[in-house]
Formats: sequence, structure tokens, C-alpha cells
Amino acid sequence: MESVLLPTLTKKEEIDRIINNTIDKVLVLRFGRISDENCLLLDDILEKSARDVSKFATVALVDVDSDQVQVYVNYFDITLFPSTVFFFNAHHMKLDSGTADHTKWVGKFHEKQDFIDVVEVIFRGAMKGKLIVHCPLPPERIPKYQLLYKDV
Amino acid sequence: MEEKNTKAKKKPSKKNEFEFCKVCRFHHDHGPRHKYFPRHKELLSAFLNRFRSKIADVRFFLKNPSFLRPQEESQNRVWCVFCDEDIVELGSSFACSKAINHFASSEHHKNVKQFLWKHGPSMDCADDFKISDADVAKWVRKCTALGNKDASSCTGQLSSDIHNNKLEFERTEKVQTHYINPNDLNDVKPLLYNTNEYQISHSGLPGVAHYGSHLNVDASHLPPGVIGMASNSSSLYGDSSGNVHSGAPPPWLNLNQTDMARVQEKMPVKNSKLNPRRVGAAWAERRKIEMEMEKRGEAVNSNTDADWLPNFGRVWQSGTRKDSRKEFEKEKRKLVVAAESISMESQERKLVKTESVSMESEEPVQIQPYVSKRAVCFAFTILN
Repeated sequence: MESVLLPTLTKKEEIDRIINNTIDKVLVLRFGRISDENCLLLDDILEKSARDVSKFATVALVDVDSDQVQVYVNYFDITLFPSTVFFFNAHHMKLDSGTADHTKWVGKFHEKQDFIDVVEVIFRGAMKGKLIVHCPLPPERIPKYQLLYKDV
Repeated sequence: MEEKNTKAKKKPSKKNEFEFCKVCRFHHDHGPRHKYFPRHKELLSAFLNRFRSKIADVRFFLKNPSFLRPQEESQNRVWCVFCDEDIVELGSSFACSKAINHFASSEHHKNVKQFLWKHGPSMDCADDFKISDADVAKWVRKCTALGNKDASSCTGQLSSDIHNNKLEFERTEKVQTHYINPNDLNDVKPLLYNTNEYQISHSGLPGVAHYGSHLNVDASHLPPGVIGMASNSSSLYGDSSGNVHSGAPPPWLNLNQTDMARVQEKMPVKNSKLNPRRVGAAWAERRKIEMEMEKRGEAVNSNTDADWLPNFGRVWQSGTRKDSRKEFEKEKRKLVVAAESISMESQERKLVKTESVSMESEEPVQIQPYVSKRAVCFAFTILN
């Protein structure tokens, strides 16, 4: 089920192109599978809020089951799905949400406004020159997970 | 040791609940100390100055009350930031009457105090946003005086009755320049000035001021609908050098040329407002230039080859992002080498199998035990 608004990327060239063509806007890349329930819930929130954040953010979905995308899955150390990675002007933006992994957002958002707040904080931080920002959400709204090093 | 313990105890700050700051327009968990942050103070002063200008307009009407025409009711509205409500002058006969009553009400005063206590460091400026009861009483007296004066001079001033207005017009003398047909009084009239709130507040309401003054002076011999229009149009356009019948150019063409010049002056300032210290600023500028060149059709050296990777800080690597990219590329090469070696081994195994099969068919392999040179020399000496 492909989203009407959000582009789904299955090749490395497509991901490279969208990273290089998004200028002065936050790029939100969702890595996940459409067969996963959490991923579908996250996609629903992303689709609904894509228009609201369209002035300062672009949202795209990446299908992790595609072979050509495995390079990025390994490079971004994505082990849990869905994972959302943020970029600004081809630079990776980190988000300190109190979890073990600051390089991405793992799991779904509680509601639309949470996603919009996170993207806004990332945009504001990026415009000020910060590469890492603090998550504005309260801890109960942040999904918890355990990060394992090589399945240990 | 004790000092260290006390310092360690002081370090973890209290975690406050997230709340929305109306002034800064974002969520924060700083708690009550947020109002002392310099950025918040700056935004607060800008926020309060904007509202002060709106209150100044309302105070103008407090000192100089004037009638409010039904057509202008929708334009005459104010948003009160302290009470979070829109004050619309529906059904009021004097300009800003509801706004004046609102700013004088006790509820508004309470909300102002609450707002300044929550957002502002000081309560000194609270009186700037309130209207005292004494001022309101004076205004009411002026309004009644105005009402009495106009009632004697002009009847049905604010009525939108076509029949009465038409009769009054027929009785009066012919208006010389820029008169408007009384049948059009209740239709949509052409805008004589911009009704943008910003322009109204900053230009000191020229149009409405004209209405007020002319209503008082010329009410005797002209019907209400025509007064403001005639005087205002002549005042706005200055010396009327011609009209549609004489074939003169329309005034908005001249105005447009000056407006365009102003707009063009303003435009370049807006483009360069992006922070030069934002993340990836240099890359963004280069990329914009490349995209413009691509649009023009010039050939551009594309950086995106198959091995390109964006700037990323990995999870299990320490050091800079360049180091993490190098490590990833090392790992990739190792994987590639390992894959190649596996494939080579499998190919060699295939080759050995094929060779062994071919060798056996030609001649049997002679296997001999290993004999060292010393053993050979020793045996030779013994024999000798």
C-alpha cells in the first residue's frame, strides 16, 4: 500500500538524490516495512503531518526489504524497525531523547503534534548550527527499547 | 569532600512539566525561570510593543469619539492577547466602543496581571494595557454630546435605508466632483484605502479620521453616504487632473509604479536572511549554484557516484563523523574481501577437484617420504 503523499524509496540512487535535493529543509527518512504494524501507525502520522511541516521539512519512506538499501541500513546501524533518521543539508541531525541511540528515532509517535514538535526542534537547532538537539517530548511519550551490540 | 557532595547534589536540576510559552511560541520545560531568559525577554518586549500600538489606536478613539458605520464594523476589530478573544464591533454605534469597554473591564485587568506575572519580569507596564474608568466616563460623555449634536443636524445617519437616502439626496444640491449614485450606497463600494490592520494602526487611521471630521462639519447639507466618500476621495487623490470621461490615466497606474519600486527595493533584503552559520550552509550554497547551472543546461560534475555516503555519526563508533565513514568503508572492504576470498576458495576447490580427476587419468602420483640432507650426509659418512 503506497502512500499518496509520501514517496517510497527502494534504491540507493533515489535516497542519494533526495538527500542532495533537499536544501534548507529537514529531511525525514523512515526506514521500515509496510508489513509491520508499528510502521503503519508511524506512516499514518507522517502522512497526516507531512503537509503541516511541508514548509520546513520533507518526509520520505524507505523500504528496508530492498537489496540496494541494505548499504544504508548497515551504515545507519538500523537494527530495530521502524527507525526515523533526520537530515539537514545532507548533514545528519542527532536527537537526544534520553534513549540509548541519539542518531535516530526508533518506534512510532504518540500523536501528530509530537512529530511536528520534534521536526520543529530539529529545524530550529539546525538553523542555529547545532548538530544535536534535545527532544521536546515528555519521557512517557518516547518509545523505550533496548539497544544490543551485535546481538549481545 | 562535603563541598563536592553538595555540588553533586545541586547538579541534577528539577525536571518541570512541558508547557507552551505564548510569547516564544514553543514548548519548554524550563519552568518559571523561562521568563528570565534573554530571548524570551526580547520576544516579550516585541510582543508587548505590538499590542501597545493597537491600544494606542483605541485610545485615539477614546479621546476623539466618532461614529462607526455599519460597513466598517468588520474592519474595526481587535484581538486581545491577554484574554485570548477577538473584540468585534458588531452593533456598536461608536468606533472601538466594545474594545474600550473591554479594556476597562475588571476581567481584562485580571488577565493582564496574570499574563505579566507569568511571562514578564515586571508588573510596571500593566497600566499601559488598561483603560481607567475615569477615561471611559469622559468618553461616554463625549459620545452622548456627539450623538445629540448629530441627531439635530442629520437624521438616519447610520441607517442603510435606500428610500430615505435617495429622498435626501434629491433634495440637496448637485455635488460637483466625484459624487456617487445614492442607489449604490448599500452596494459594495470600491476600497479607497488599504484596510490592512498594520497600515491602519501605523498610519493613524487617515481614512476613518477623515470620516469623523467630515461627518461633523458637512453633515448639514449632504446625505451621510456621500460625505466621507466625496471628501475622502478628493483628499486621497489630490488634485483631480482628469477622469474617465476626459481620458486621463487611472491613478492606480501611477501608484503602481512607485509601489513596484518599493517592492523591488525590499526584495533583495529578504533573500539573504538565512543564517550563514546554519548546518550545512556552505554545502547548500554550492548545491543551489549547481542546481541553477543544471537548470540552465550546463554540464555539472555530479558528486553522487555509487559509493557516496552522507555525513552520518554512527552508533557504535567514537570520534568524528569522517572517522565513522572511514570505518564503515573499511568494514565494507573487509566484507568485500571476505566475500571474494570465499568465492575464490570455492572456485579453487572446484579447480582442484577437476585437476585431481584429470591427473588420476594420466599417471599415478608418486608419494615419497621426506629425507633431510643431514640424514643423507650421515648415511654417506657411515657407509664410507
